[in-house]
Amino acid sequence: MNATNKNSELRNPNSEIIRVLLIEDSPGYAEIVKIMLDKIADTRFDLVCVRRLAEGLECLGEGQIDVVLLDLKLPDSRGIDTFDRVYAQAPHVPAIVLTVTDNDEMAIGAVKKGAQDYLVKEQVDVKSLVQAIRYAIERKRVEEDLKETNIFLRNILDSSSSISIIYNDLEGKILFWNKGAENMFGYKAEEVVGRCKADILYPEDDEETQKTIVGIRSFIVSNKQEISCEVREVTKDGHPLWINLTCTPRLDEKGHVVGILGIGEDITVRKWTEEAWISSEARLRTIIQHDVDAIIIVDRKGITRFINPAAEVLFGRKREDIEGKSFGFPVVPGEKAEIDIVRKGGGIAVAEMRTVETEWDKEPAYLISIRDITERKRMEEELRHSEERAMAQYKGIPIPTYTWRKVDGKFVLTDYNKAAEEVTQGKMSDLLGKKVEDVYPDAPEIVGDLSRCLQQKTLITRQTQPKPGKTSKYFDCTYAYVPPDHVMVHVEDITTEKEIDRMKSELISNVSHELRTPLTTIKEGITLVFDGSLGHLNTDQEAVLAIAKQDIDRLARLINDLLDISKIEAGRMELKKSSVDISSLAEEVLFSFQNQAGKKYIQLKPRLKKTLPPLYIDPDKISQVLANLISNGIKFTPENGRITVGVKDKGKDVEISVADTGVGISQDNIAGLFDRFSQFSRVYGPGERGTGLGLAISKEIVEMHGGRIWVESEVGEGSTVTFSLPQMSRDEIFREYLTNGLREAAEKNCPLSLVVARMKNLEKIERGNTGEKVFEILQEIEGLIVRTLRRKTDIVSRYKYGEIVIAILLDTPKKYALSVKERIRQAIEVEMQEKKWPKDMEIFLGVVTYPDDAQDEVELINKISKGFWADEIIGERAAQGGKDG
Amino acid sequence: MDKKRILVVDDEPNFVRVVQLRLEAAGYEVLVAFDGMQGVSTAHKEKPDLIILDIMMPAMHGHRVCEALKKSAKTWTIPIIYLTAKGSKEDEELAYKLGAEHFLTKPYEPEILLEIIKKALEPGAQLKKAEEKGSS
Repeated sequence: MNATNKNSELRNPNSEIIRVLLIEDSPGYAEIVKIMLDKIADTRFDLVCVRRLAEGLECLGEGQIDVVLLDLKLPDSRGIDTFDRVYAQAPHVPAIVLTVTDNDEMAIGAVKKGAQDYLVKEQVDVKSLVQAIRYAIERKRVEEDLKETNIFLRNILDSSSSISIIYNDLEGKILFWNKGAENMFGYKAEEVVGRCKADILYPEDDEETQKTIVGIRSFIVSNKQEISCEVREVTKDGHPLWINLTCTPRLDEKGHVVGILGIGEDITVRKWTEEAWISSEARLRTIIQHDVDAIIIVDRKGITRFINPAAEVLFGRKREDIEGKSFGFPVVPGEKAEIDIVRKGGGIAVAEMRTVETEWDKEPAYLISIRDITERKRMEEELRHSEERAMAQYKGIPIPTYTWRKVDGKFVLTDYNKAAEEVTQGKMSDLLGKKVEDVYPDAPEIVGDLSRCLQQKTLITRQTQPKPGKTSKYFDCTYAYVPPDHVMVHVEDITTEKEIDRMKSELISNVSHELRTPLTTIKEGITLVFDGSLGHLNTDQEAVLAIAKQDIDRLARLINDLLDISKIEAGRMELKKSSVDISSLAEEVLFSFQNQAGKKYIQLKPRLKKTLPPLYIDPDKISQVLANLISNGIKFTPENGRITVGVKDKGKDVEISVADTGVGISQDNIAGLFDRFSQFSRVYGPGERGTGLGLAISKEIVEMHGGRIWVESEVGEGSTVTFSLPQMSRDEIFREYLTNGLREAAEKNCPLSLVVARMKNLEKIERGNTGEKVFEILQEIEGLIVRTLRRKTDIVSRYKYGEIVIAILLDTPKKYALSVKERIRQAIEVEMQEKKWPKDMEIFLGVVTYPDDAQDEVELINKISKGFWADEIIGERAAQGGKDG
Repeated sequence: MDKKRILVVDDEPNFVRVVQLRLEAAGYEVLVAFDGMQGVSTAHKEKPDLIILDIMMPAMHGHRVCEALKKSAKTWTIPIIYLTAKGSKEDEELAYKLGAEHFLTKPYEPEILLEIIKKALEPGAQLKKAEEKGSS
């Protein structure tokens, strides 16, 4: 395949095969991606999977890749550098970064650096993956096109050194000044951009020019049409120039004129020639001879009497061939006309022809000056085209797209595309010019997203929920910043996809029910007979039933594991995180295997770290991982062996390892260890057989927590499986609680209240006491609040490095939150008197409620940080009756 | 002492039969109901000492059965143990919210089921639970 061919393939988003390069070290995830892509009927994906960056770069070097899916954590490269190297290798190939957490700064960094998107692994489903791939390719194409258009445009504008192109707004402020203008007027662009055009180019005393300029402007504003005229302008060193100026209006989306593009040609010599002609024929012959314009003298009969060398060039003919012959174009004195000239060598030149009456050889004649304006015409065309192209791209996207512009602090709808019109069935035109608050009175978050997008100049995405009584649809909204003050919003209806997702999860749940019910009966039936509840068995009967029972248990595990995997695949597995002491959890799980280990005389050995701060994890899921690893260990360890569970503090992470003294795993097998159904040839001991899914599930669970899992093993020595879990800071944990709480509140359409407590004069108290004492007090306040709350779903967290204690109350309106606050206040007051806390201590207490006080997380955090919530102080000053807040 | 009576409410006759055998072998008297409505009316009539309840059933959903029993003065003290194949987190949370004693998923371990039943039937277990509820 040659280069152009490849390019055109890349440019066609509908081409049948999309070649995807997946650079991902987890074979399990690669498998999931493969399965997902295979499910797409209308597009074929060629998936190339590599595990190392080096292989990926090699692959990119060979070309023929349409899109890259990239994990930033690879065996041979980690972090943002991974993306940089991919981008350096193939800047034209769109890249999508894969990440495990939604708020991965590295992934966001990659997007800022030019990655098209990032995908959170466990949230990826078929639809979002394909969409991301398609969009990435499409967006990249548009980006490249725009880049090309821009370069092209810049080239046009700068290439013409003899034509000035100046763009100014309606006040006359110069916004653009090209090379031609620099040459013509002697000012550099940086000297004049931002200044007023009139101050620079039009001498104040020249009333006629001033009048012309004002005339041009009012003509353009009212007629919105191109206009040409001749004006006198002045160069930097004071020389007057005659400029033939063509002014074109630039319109905004509503069709209002926002600026004027002026294309100017220096016609001083020609002008001067015309003026001076009558006075001195002889002198002018010489001048004509050297003029850059083509000058032709035609007599009253239409016969050409004289042409200058420029005319020879323009027509591509010799003087002798033209003089004495009929001129061929209609001649009207005092008029300008555009004519097409067929050049001798082929091709058509566009020229502007001007005619004045004069005398030649003492006879009345016409002086015709012709200027080649082919170049100018082409430039005007190109400018128009490039704008039309950008417009077509925007108008043609099949996703409803709206453009908002900030006017006087409010967002106003300035444009929409065809798809938007179709969605609203032609009602769009009524909404043009309306404020966003009026268009979407029930969606305050849109205003927030618009301002955030404009402020941060980045891409923002949000999925909206159905609103009871308003809409039953789900939407994917993408906000894109468009300089200087616009935000373009794509709104895609994803209701169908959501519906399919829901049906899928219902199916999973139903199938599980249908499978489990008969299985339960079989199991209980066999167990009843087996354990002798219904009468005595002989040895053979017992042995047969024991085997049956073992395999029923295995079948039950297999069903559970398959359900887990399908949940993960469908993005349905949800983590219920809470603060958990990992060492206690590990110990608990380890000793639950005492029975099983005892049968093989295997020693269980905890090597824990008891002083770790709690981790923010899903205890059930992590127990599942631990149980999996420990049961694997027991399974593959011969009698009298040892299983050691270790917990190590690694600063940013905690590492939990399960080591056995078993048979070990060969290097060849380690690679595929986390694949599904990989039951490699470790020698089976007695006891239950695995399902081959345990490690694949464990890996998914660990990665969903933002951790990693890996194996070290030596044949004959034993194996160690280690996984890491991130130690989140208090602030991170609080933010996650808050995000989850808000998501739930939005989904259930219910309020969420925060009761916030903060020590007022923390620094002062800290100076008087040791930091430890302050920490203790905060801890006590937290404990007090925990004890005051009554519901299981209430969460107490700390924010701002623990300085603020916050109770997150789900589904709690402000009214009830205030009564909770009152209870907390009483509890703190009692404690204050009893505990002898520092005398001068004061505590702010207040309530912030979503959606009453704040519409989104940013606003909530803002309110908390700035103390807007505080409406009550407990402590010394409160006792004196002083209140501020 | 009289045999304790357990009501099993489940729409799968096969399942009901094996559970009945298991419970009888453990020394309990077993009453059965094959849908939710029947379950509620049997509970009212017979006042069993404990109820084992499925979720997905015709006539009346398990959660609604639980709610109805816990709201009735006659039956609110009877401990209810969910035993269901529909083991989602939401169901579990809802069951406890409605006042269930325990939530088990199918397939179950017979020893665990018997242990839980024994605990729930201990004299004073219900009183203790009521106290906890009142104090929280």
